[in-house]
Amino acid sequence: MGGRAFLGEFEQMVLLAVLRLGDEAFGPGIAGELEERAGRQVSRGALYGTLDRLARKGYLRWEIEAPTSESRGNRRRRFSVTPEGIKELVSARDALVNLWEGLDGVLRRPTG
Amino acid sequence: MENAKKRGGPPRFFEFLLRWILPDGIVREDIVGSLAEEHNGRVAWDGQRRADSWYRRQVLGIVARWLRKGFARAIGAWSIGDLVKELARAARRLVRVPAFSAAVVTTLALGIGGTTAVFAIVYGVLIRPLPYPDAERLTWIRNGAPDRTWSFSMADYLALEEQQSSFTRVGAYDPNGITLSTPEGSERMQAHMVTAGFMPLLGIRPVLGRSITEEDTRPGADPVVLVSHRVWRSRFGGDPGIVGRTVTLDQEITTVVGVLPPPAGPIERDQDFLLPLTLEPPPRKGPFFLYVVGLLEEGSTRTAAAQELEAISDRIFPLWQDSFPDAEVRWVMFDLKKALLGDVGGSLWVALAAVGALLLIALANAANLLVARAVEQKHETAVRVALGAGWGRMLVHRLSESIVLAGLGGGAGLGLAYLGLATAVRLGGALIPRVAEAALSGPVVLFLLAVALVSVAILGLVPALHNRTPLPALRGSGRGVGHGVKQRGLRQALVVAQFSVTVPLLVGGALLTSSLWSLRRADPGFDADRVLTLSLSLPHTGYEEAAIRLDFWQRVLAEVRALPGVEAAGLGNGRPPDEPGFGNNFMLEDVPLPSGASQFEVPWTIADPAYFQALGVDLLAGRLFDVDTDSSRVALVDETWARRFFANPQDALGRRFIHGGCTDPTRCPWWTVIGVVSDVEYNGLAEDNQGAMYLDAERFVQLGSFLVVRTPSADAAALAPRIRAIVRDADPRVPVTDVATGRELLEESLRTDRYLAGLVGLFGAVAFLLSLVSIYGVLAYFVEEHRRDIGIRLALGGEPLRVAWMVMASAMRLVLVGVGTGTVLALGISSLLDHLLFRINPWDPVSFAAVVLGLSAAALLSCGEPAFRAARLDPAGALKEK
Repeated sequence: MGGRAFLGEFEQMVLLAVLRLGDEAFGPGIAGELEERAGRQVSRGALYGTLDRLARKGYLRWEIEAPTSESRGNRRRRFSVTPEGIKELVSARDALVNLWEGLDGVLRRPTG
Repeated sequence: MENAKKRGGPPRFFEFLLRWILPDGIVREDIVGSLAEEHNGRVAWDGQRRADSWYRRQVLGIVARWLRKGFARAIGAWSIGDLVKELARAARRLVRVPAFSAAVVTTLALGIGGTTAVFAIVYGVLIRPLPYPDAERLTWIRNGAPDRTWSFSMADYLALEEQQSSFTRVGAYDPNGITLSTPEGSERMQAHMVTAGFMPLLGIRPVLGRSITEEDTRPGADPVVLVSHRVWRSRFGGDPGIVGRTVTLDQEITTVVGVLPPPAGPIERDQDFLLPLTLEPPPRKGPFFLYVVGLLEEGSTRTAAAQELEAISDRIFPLWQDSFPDAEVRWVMFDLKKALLGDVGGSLWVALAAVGALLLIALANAANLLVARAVEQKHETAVRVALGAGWGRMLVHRLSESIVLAGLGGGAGLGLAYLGLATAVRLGGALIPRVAEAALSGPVVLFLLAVALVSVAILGLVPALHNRTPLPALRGSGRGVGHGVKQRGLRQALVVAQFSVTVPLLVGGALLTSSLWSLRRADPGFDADRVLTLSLSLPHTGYEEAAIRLDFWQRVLAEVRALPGVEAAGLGNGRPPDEPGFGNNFMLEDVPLPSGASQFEVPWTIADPAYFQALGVDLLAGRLFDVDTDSSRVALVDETWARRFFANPQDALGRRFIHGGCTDPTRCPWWTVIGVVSDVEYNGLAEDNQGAMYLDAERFVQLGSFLVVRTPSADAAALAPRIRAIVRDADPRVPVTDVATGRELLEESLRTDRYLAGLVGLFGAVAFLLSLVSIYGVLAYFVEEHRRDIGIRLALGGEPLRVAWMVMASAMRLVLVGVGTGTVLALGISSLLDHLLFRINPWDPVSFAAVVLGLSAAALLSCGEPAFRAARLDPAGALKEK
């Protein structure tokens, strides 16, 4: 595969959600954040698949936390974004911002 | 509507599925735990049902991703599109060999469909919890002696309701029939008389109106009824204004107060009505007619509840000692599901094992056909491999055919399973409790998918692995010389496996069939071919007095006797072979029992003298009833009864007994045996007769009774319409039901046995055919493969017969190994059938010998054709080929 691929849209959203949650980035919270802020239904299969892919690429890491009664005795993963992950996010945003520039007149936000 | 389950936690099966597909470790724990946490949250704000359905969707999504990933890994860099193309190519290849494809698909469809249908029944009946709220805490409470259990009495139930503390709720029902009278006529309908606790206990909420209340069960309360959903739709046209209308039930004007929801579980399934059970303090401990269900208090253990039941029954024992002296009897409890299912579980597992064996045979057979095909294509395969197709690619190539075959087989199997299940539900309703709940539900379809996947694996991988090394095939130029010993070994192993699975199936079929024959030959004690029986039940109103009842019966009997072709017509409140009038215990004057021991209990029937004549039962000693000269307390017994307690029939005459649980001769009168009649079966043909007793129907005149009519002609059933007409003229309110000839009664009593013998026999027959096809195929292939060798041998002067024998011997060796293994297997598992067999040993040497010899002989015959083809081979021609 030639060149490096940009982060996918969903991958960006997941990384941003993890960042927003800070120390509280557990699976259910990330799902809730995405559904609330991005306003779309997220299949948990897609979410956990993406979390694993991001971890494999080195943009996310996790720490193991003790089980709670809510998790019915299962240990939990607390996610955080790695410096590489942040670098990727920034370059993805920069690329988009560059492209957006000067298009405000054309792409006016629908009001209401 | 959160009544389905209140366990907390996500749907168990799906959580299990999730755990199963995810690799062990922190990732799995995190995902399982997080989903459980989210599910919990959703239950709180969205309800159990929606939360469960959300959970199921998420798990299925994860499963789908997992499957996709699995496929992607299996085919390497290939895309799904490539896979589809490969499958299309496989389908085209298979269309070119229609006979082969049809054979494999049919085999697979039978195997997969049969297994799925039986699994659907096993799952719906045995595995799934009862469809009641808190089903796992529901218990069945009964009276128990060391050797048997029986229902509660009113005395028992009232004491239980008042004194127990281990159950959140208890409820009772009396399964009873009821007569519905309409302007068109009278009809017997199914009804439960229930306590106020019954409906909430099973989570039954009326769709219209109200439930049965405590008020309704008080003596003297206004009669009310709830109608079933089915009756509401069919008889009242789903009238939304039905509440408040009246119906005539058992001649009483009864107000409809509600409509039941469609039935969920086995207790209420076939009921047309629910009526209040009148709770009246009884004068004595018996009779025992109430079925009692209890919901264990949350947190209360079964052991503690059982102890409490024992304690209460001990506490009330002295109160009723006069009418019930058996000190060994205590209240006992069982898991409701187990109690309702009885011993049907054993038969179902046998059926599943049998059909599973069939599936294995089908798979082995199909794999065998595919190995043969792989061998045929070996040359082509070798060329492709030599031209650079990688092993993985060849695997996909090979797997594609089995995916297509298993896909078609699985699809057709699903159709077959649907048909099979519909048939089983229709035929098996009376046989298998809960069978109406069996359906092609999610887990059943997943089971089918799993079976289909295993089929793909077996069908595809076995031949593919054996085609891996291309070089010998190229060196051998595709002719016999180079064919690996290994793949012949595999085909041979599959043949051996098929025969070894066929033997237990055939032995099982043979044992069940001979058991059925013995049952058919068993003497039921009455003249089955010349008897017609009909059930009549008089309404309560208008027949309160015995004299009026007797008058009705005598008028009807006189007119029936006057019909042309009627030799005798009698009256009995029971009928053979498995419907005694009632069960009753008694104490013999001359056979004392140790104190506190259980009394003897046998089936009793209230019959008039003509009953015996009509059934063809002989008088062996003494005399029959004579209401005009008998004292009021006389009884007849049968020969087995007489020999059980006394030396011979003559000896039983004049002996005295007390019955009904009483032991005190000063309070309860003695009864006298005045005659001994020949044996009739009342406990079913398979059960040992323990003796039977009779009371006089002309003295104890019943409301409900069977008419037993004897005719010299073989067509007893032809009398039925004329007898119906007589009854209608005598009193149109009296329904005539359960019309059956003696032969029909016997056949009806053998339904389970017939069903099982037929099922296992059918499996056996299919397995038998598949095995023969496989041995034929293997041998025919062997001969084709060895044409040159055989030709050389014949050319060198080998005798054709010797050659034929050599070929046959090679195949029969496999057959004998398979049959031998199968026999050992059958010896090991036939004891499973023991409790289903009548007068035949599960290791019956005749059945075993017949199966072993028959199967071997049939195999020998199917080897004959290829063997003689080999012997007739033209040596010159064979040597010239290629």
